[in-house]
Amino acid sequence: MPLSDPALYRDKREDWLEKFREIRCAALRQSITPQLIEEHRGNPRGPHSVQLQLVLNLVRGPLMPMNGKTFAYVRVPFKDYAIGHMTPRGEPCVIDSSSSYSNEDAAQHAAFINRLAVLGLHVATGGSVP
Amino acid sequence: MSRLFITGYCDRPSVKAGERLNVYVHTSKRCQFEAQLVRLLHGDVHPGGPGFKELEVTANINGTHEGHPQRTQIGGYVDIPDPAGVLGGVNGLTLHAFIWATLPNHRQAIMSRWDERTQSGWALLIEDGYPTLVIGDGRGLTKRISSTRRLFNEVWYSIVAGFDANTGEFFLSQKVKLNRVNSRLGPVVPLDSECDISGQDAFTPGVTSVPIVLAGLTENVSDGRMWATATFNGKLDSPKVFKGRLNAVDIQCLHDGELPKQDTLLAHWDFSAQISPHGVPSDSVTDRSPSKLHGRCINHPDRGMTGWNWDGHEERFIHCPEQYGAIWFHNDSLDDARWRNPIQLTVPQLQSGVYAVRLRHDAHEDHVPFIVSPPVGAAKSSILVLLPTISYLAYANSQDMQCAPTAQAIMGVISTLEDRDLELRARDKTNRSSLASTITSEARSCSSIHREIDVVGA
Repeated sequence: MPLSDPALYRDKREDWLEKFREIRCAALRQSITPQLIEEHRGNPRGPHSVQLQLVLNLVRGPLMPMNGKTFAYVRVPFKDYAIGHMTPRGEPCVIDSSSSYSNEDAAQHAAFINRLAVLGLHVATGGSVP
Repeated sequence: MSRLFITGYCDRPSVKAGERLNVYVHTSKRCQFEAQLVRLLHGDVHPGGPGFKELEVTANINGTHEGHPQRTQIGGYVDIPDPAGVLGGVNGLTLHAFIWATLPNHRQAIMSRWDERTQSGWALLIEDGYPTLVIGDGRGLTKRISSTRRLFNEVWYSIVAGFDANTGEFFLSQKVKLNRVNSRLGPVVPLDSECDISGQDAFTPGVTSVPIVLAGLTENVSDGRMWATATFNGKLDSPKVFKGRLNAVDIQCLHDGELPKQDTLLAHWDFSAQISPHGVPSDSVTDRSPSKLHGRCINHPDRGMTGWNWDGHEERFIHCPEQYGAIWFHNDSLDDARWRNPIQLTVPQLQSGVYAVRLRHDAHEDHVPFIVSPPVGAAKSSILVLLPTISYLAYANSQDMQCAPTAQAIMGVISTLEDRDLELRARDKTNRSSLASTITSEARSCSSIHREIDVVGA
């Protein structure tokens, strides 16, 4: 059957990205331990252990769509930070006005935790997600 | 209020004492602003360091000035004056172009002599993915004829469309022109994407004095400037215009890449005419027809691009210009903001270094930086500082950390963004750096000093 209308043909890349996302999350789920979370909290910029680096590659990389991706927001440089969420290009981003962190590292850590939660990657051995 | 209330740019990155520097300023509303020449000493505001330091310098530019909003034309296109109305289309026209659209689902123009404000003239457009010819009389009447097949993106097509004002006939013919190498799809893909359609009720387009635009429409002409809209994304090759309606044989001739033996040729723009062993050192566009309706590229669309007839045997465009007769247009290109009414600095006798014109209105502030370099032969210091203006431009207004899916993994950090970053992103289609992701998903080919630069960095 010849192709006649491009609108009828969906870009299937997202299907495969979703499948790959599932595979990577399944592979890394057991790595999300309180120790790994604490490692990131103490040193969000690195260098990191191999396991934390693999988790960061997932949450920073292209497997997570830009739309909705959490970021650290600077309210007052060096004094007050929050977390925000990306929106489609051309639209204002959404800032979580209830969040407040005294330094960039804390905001980076909060964004990291939020990204884990979006992927359903909660702490493997129980305990609350900080 | 916008954090980018006041912003500006200068016309050169570096100057010497005694030279003149134009500084172009935009304010979000008409107001007065203060300008002050400063020497920049230290820019890091980390509380553990010395903090931001600048030194005010006496200069002719210091003082109060009148500010006003400045508009910036975004998007690449070709501007072709036609004051005599050669392509007015009184008796009808036949239009032809080879096109390769990257985002055909956006409304955009292939070629036009159309006044969007009065809906007058004619335009060959893409609407909802369908090539469409529209004519308007400027008194509220418009007629259009559309293809029955949407365009596949990044596939070469030959589009012939036209109207005969005497018989009232409209027509549009769409043919696929892909080969093994020139399109995203190859000959193995079965496509049903061609169309021959005609209709009635064509009429003489309304009289308008707007220019011919390739890859865009005229939005309006104000203060002696033409503003373009609906600019095209993708490649155009060999656009042509004929007087009246061509017959079926001649139309097929155009589809085959030949020029019909006609004395009705009104325009034939050959984008490869400027290709030389030195590349394409020109914004000029040549009309090879007797009309000589030559044009000029605006906002630096990419020239020397593979055309509809590229067969892949030669990869250097200078060696095979006839297969590189396309121009690739992007609707977010910018080579010069072309703001008006600059304030002019006469550079005083200054030690070489990094300076800026500080602009202030109330709590809003911007710095327009530039370098003062020593006169040739006059440098005495034993230390040379070389400032990479190309790197500065490559990362100017970069939005990689906000927009590029791989940027955070590459940089090894979750994005930390401030208001200025977010405001730039929300404005869309403006002023991106050469590295930032564009609406066309392709890296930009140029980054200009002649535009506001509000953020620098990955």
